[in-house]
Amino acid sequence: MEIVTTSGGRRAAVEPSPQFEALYRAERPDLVRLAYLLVRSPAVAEELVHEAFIRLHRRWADVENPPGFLRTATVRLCFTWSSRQRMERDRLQLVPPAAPVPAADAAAADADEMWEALGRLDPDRRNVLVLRYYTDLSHAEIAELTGCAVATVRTRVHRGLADLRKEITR
Amino acid sequence: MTGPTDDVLDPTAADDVERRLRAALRTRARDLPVADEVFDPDRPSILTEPEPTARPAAGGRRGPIRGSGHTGRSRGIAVAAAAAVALTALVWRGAGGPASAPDGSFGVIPESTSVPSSPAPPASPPIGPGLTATWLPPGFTVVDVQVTPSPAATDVAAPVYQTLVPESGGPGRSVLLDIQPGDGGFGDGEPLTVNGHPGITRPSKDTGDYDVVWNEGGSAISASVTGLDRAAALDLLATLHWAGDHRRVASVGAPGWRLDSDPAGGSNVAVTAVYSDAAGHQLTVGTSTFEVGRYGFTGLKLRGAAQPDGSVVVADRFDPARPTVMVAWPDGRSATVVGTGLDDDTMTRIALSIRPAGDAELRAQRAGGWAHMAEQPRLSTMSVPAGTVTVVGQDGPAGVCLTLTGRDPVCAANSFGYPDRISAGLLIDGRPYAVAATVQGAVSPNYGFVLVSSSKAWAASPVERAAGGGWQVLVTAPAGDDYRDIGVGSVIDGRVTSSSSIPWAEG
Repeated sequence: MEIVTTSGGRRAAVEPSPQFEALYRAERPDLVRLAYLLVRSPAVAEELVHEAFIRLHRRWADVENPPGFLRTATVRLCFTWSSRQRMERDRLQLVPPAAPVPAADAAAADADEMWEALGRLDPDRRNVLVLRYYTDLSHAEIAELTGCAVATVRTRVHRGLADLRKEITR
Repeated sequence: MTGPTDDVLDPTAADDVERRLRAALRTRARDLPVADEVFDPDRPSILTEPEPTARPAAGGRRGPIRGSGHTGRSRGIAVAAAAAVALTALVWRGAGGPASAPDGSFGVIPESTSVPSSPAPPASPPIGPGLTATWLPPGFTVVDVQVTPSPAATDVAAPVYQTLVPESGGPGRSVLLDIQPGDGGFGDGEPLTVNGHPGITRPSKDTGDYDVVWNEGGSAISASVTGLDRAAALDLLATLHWAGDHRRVASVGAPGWRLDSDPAGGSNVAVTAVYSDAAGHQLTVGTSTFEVGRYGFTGLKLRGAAQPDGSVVVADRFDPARPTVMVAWPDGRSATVVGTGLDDDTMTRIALSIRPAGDAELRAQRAGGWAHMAEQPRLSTMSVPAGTVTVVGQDGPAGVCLTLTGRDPVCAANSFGYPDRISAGLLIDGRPYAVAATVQGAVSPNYGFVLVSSSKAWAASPVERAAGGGWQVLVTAPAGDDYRDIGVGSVIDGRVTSSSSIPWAEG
């Protein structure tokens, strides 16, 4: 896809079809929320979901299950992002911490402690916990989604929960 | 997709932590405001490198390295930088958006009249010891060497990886130890005893022929064994001398074996070396003495091909136009090679050839590269109060040099490979200068110099601008140590979509 600005004269991407736009409106909010739980930044979540839609838009005619494609693409982009962030953070700490999302009610306030504890976990373990307990995916489904072995997913869930218990009892 | 019966979540069986976790995630997601947007296929994401809307007069160099122009490492840095600018842009949007510079380029760096000549300079960072490739394909010579030291990394609760290898370096024998805090379950396997502790052996999930798993001293230990039978491996493991907290092997008592790595962490020295050949092909080799860290290595092990010595080779096709090979070692060393037209075996060979290089060697390499750069044709020479900026290259910028008045030029290669822009950080006598240049008038009004950080230090940073030869240039000398924050990028619809970060070269 060519990237152009309003002043540019280069070939623009094909305009999205009404079906694509409907899918965008229907799927985007939930995908952004899932991505946010994985990368913990609303701005980055929006960008990664946008990237997933861009990739779908390129392959629109070939994708048989667009919602499934979007979920897989979003999760993998988030995992890749997390991995790269982790590798780069020691060298160049450019990304400022995301502004906290204020708690809306008592349940949200209670959730804050768990959210903060979750943020202190190893990202690989944290990510599988999100997929397991937010999206209710099975170990096998998480493995298929992330390209890991089922045993790896199971171990990460087990150890992630153990880590979480330690964090919230500190 | 349906998992096994015991793998399906049963809310009634969940304990309090699991219930709270599920509730917390759903509450958090519920409370996240998601604005209603219309999909714009022309708006790049932070993972997309926008292309300029016009080319240099010569028709535009796609560069020897095509595509985004990033190395695997630098692409990651640029992505991080893009995230920073994206986040910053959100703030700007709330504040009414950034202003355009008088020359029409997008600029948020406050103007000043001159670069101060004599503030107290920060301490000049050491150059090396770093890691440099000792083997290159025929015909490639160094163009530039940039060294970036960074503080020590700390991963207190992370797993520890250590490798036992024969003293003689005999092929095919090694034991990779993965030491995790806390006791762990064994899973399925054949029971055995390791150093007096119950454990199991099982087919290897990792790098070796088989694994030996046991708990000892409050740690869960997995030994991935290559080239040893079980009896020999158990004899070897029984000779380990543990550090006090049992999270680390202090030494090995078996004759003929040594501990090959110490992943305790430490400061990182990153070296980015750019090479080119007579045909204009460009090759970038980035190395780090401790960049990967333990978490990163874990991830790479899952993605890549494990080697008998415990290292892992990852062929990255994140950007198909820019094949990348990364080799990482358990002790944190890593090498990333990017070069179009080279196969994976060649890039792997380059990565595996890295060896430590001290100050003198790195300086000599860099001096040679700058001499080579100085021989390049000049695209533009622009005068600013502080001195002269020269953009060198042929169809596109191969490098940029800043010559302070009365001083020798200090240069940096176009390691990002953009055809119409270049940015560089130059340390001269310990004082950081940032130089960014773009093709004048050939880019959109939304494309130019951008601020890549929310740091307040830039508010006081003086800026000098000049134009000539179809190029425009910005030079700044930020105060203090906040000198990594200038870039060249684009803003579309008020959102910063891309920028290049700056590696630093010391003059």
